[in-house]
Amino acid sequence: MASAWLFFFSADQGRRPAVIRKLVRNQATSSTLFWAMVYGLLDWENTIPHLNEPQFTAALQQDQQEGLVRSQDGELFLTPEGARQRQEMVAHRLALTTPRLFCQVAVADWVQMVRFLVQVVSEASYHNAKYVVATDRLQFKVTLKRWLRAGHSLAELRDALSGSLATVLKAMPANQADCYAQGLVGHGYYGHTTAQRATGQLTVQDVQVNDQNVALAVWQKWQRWPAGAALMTPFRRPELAPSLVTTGKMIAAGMSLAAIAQRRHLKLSTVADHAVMLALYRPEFPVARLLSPARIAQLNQLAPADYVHWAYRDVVTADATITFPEFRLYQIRRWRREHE
Amino acid sequence: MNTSETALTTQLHQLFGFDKFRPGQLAVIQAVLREQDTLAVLPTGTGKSLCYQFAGRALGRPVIIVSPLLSLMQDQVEQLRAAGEKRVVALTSTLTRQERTLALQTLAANRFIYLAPEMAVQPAIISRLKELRPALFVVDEAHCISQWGPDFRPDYRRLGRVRHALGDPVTLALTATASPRVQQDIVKALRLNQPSIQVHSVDRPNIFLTVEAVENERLKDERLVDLVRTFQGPGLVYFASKQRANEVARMLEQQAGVRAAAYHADRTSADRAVIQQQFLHHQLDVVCATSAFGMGVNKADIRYVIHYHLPADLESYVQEIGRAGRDGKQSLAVLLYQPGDETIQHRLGTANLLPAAEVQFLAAHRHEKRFFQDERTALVQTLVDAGMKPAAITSYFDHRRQEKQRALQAMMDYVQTTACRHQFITDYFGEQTKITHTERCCAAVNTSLTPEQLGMASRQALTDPGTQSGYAAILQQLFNL
Repeated sequence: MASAWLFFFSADQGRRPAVIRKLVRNQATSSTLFWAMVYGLLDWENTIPHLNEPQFTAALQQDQQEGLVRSQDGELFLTPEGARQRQEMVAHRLALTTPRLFCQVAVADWVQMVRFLVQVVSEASYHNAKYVVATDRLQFKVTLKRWLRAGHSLAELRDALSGSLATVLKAMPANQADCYAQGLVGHGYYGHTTAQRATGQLTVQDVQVNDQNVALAVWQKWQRWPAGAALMTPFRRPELAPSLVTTGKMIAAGMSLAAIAQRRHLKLSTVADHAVMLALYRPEFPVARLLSPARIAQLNQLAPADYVHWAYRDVVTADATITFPEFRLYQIRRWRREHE
Repeated sequence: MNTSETALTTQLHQLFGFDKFRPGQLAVIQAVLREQDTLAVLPTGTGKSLCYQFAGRALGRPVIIVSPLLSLMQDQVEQLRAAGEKRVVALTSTLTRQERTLALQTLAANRFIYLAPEMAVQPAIISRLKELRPALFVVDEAHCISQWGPDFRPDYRRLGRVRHALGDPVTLALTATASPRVQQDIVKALRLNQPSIQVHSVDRPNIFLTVEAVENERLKDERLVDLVRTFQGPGLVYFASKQRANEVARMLEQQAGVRAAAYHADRTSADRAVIQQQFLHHQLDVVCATSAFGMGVNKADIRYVIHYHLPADLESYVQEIGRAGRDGKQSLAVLLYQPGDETIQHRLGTANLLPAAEVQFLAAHRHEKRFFQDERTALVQTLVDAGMKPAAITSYFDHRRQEKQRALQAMMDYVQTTACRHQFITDYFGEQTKITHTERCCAAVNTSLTPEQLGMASRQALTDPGTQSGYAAILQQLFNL
């Protein structure tokens, strides 16, 4: 049986398993991110932070044995049968609707926080203070208590929560909406486990993805609910690491990479890596500050047709003054212009 | 403080709404309120937790409770909260750093402070707890000091020092099962001062005890399905393997037509909470569990406990079957034994008691994390971190292996006995109790009473799983719209 990992591969483009593994597991280097961009998978960073590496490797080996993927120069391609099964998977299995939010939200915690809030609001709706809370997370309770002490009310939360959930669930296929709601817990309603909800068309993995999709849809709705900000803050993740942000500001202010490295007491290669990652994360990154028109023209001349697989050592052979960040930024800029 | 029975019964009603104490509770509470260290051996289901909850409320100062199992602690914390006592917190390794800081900052606001033993031995936490001047120091599941502690929670053995660091507060050690030897171990390890020792019989006369020997796993499965179909539930089935628990839960749903769920550490905490509540509220007929389930579950009408795998020792067995029949009605405990089942427990029980050469190697490389990646090495790491030398660890492991073997042999003796099983159990725990054996008491291997003879014939055919509601109806119900 095909593994779910087929989703990340293509019949037309060879892809390295290590890139996918590091990307979803939030272990991406600038090289990982570059290839994720080329694969069209940048949005999938940090979506499976607890990925089990041996299981991942074993699953792909099994796919290869079953003739669903083939290996060529360290890259995997889907075979025709693999492509067919992938298509079926996409048609019948649930996928994350907003994977990019996994870099902005502590999703696993937020899924549980929404369930917790539903239970508290539900019991309050029946004026019941004596119930067993279906979570052991102190953070959830403290966050809610602080929010209430700041002058908000459970009635206000009830309106926001019931309204958001009703809107989000109404917009989904009925079986998915029902599946999500059946996992909630509240007054006189004890919920269902993941396995109990994975009946009929949905697998256990579908149920988990569905829960994440709904919770993130609520998150997006609450971005427009000012009062909800304090409930969401503990679950926000910084989109960029603080060090990247600092380097980014200095680049925007016109400093050279060498000057930044000196000012920040970092290695030049580290700052260069920051620049490349910023360019990958931020399409609006001012590449021109680090890549002159003359250099772009020069690289245009030197680049082979397959500039994506162009090796830096070949660039250096042609002109040793071309730095790695210039080379990589050129590739990113060109890719974006051609594909976005 | 007036500790007469009359006065305390009045307070019991005021604080908890009960009209009388259960057997054993009054004497324990009286001893504690008189500030006497106490060891209480009270059978499962007799309300041990009320002994310290009463003291906490009566004395008006914090009570510290050390508990070995996260699930048990969480159950008890939530039950206290559900009963209206909100001044309760649990300090466990599952807290994030932020949560832990917050919990320590607000510790004084709590009446009941539950602690995992590995948290209890941390100097920063001891220092904070000492400031609170606790009224009572409770060691729950105190037999962990003697039996489980050395294998899974070495920190339990350090609780005597913790107690001393806290200023030797009045201490209550609680357990459901402890032989005289284990009782002595507990008193010594905790450094209890002339303790009051309250021991109540482990015997549960309303539980019919039997063992059924089967040749192979297929026959074991068939017999299990038959039992679940024909005996009135709800029930628990215990396993030594999470995978088998999963498989059998599915099998029971398909073949016995019951609503079953598997409960073990691989389930998410959200799913575990749902299973508990479903079971409590009659939405599940059978829970297939590892030993993690049930310790804190207050369900009085569990009618049977079946052991699919042999437990490691009689202490565990008695605790687990003790979850049946808390309402006093006729219940059933069946142990399904397949020759060779004992090797499972032998393997599980000694997996982390590593040979001398490995201990030596790990101790020499104790700063290299790559050698301490799994459960097998975790115990060695804990003991090395606690300052034990390799030779001492090896000697300790040798002793533990012998103890495990002895305990497993006692379990096998129970399986094979042709004498009264209730008498066997009470004798094992050093009780002087003379059991009056009756037909509804127990049976030798493969001789048993029928459900009808026990008055436990199943009253239901296939259980209707019910239909799952649509989201609109669920939201309406949840939010009272």
